Amino acid sequence: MSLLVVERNMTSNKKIIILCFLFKSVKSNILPFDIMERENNEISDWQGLVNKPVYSNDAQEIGIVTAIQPQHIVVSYGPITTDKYLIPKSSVKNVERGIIYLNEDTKFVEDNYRFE
Amino acid sequence: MEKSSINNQSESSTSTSTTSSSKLKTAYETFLQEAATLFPKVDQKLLLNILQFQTSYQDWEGSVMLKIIYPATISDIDAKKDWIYRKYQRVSTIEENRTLRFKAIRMYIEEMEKLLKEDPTIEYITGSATMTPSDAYAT
Repeated sequence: MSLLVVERNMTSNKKIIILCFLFKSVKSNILPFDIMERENNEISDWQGLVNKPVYSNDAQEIGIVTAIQPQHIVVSYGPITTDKYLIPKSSVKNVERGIIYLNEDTKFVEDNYRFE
Repeated sequence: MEKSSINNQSESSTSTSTTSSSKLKTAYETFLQEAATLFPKVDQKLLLNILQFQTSYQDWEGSVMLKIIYPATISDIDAKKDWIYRKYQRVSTIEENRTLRFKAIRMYIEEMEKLLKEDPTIEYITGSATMTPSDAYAT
């Protein structure tokens, strides 16, 4: 949208201001994901993972993070009779662009982490 | 002159409230960290609800729909079910072969601590605390 504002007859100062604004808005959208990602194998902000999707290492969706507990993350799937998974924090492989990837495959997750 | 005095007053009140709110936030965050350290196996939301009910209402009867989750590798969940029956005289249901669900009364945080000490194999406890006694099928 803002790109439309950049017109030919604008002064270079105005163009620079608009480009700075665009850069800032893009940066602020990317930054929250950067904060959540691992730094030295540690996730700095676990609470920031709430409402983010979780995938197994064979690229199947497990569900959405609904709560962060001291030792686990709680993941729920489905709108009415939700399946719930209790996943140890150590099982989180990485977080990429707001998606949480696990170390285990779907079968392992279903067999070992599902509790409800 | 008057205007500047009003501005000063408003600034000082804002800075006081900011200090109060930041103090309260810090104290709350410390409290949450403490709760997580002392009860790492308990759903923090459930823990805070029980704590709130039990401290605010002296006559709260400790009505909690409790879900006790054991490791997936547990071999005999029926033995755990029997143990819960002997302890609380409540028949629990088994879910996903590792979760015991039952309606408990007098489930205060002291009781929760005792439960976790008596059975260290428990992986996690969750559920919901209710103000008034509700039926056994409530979530």
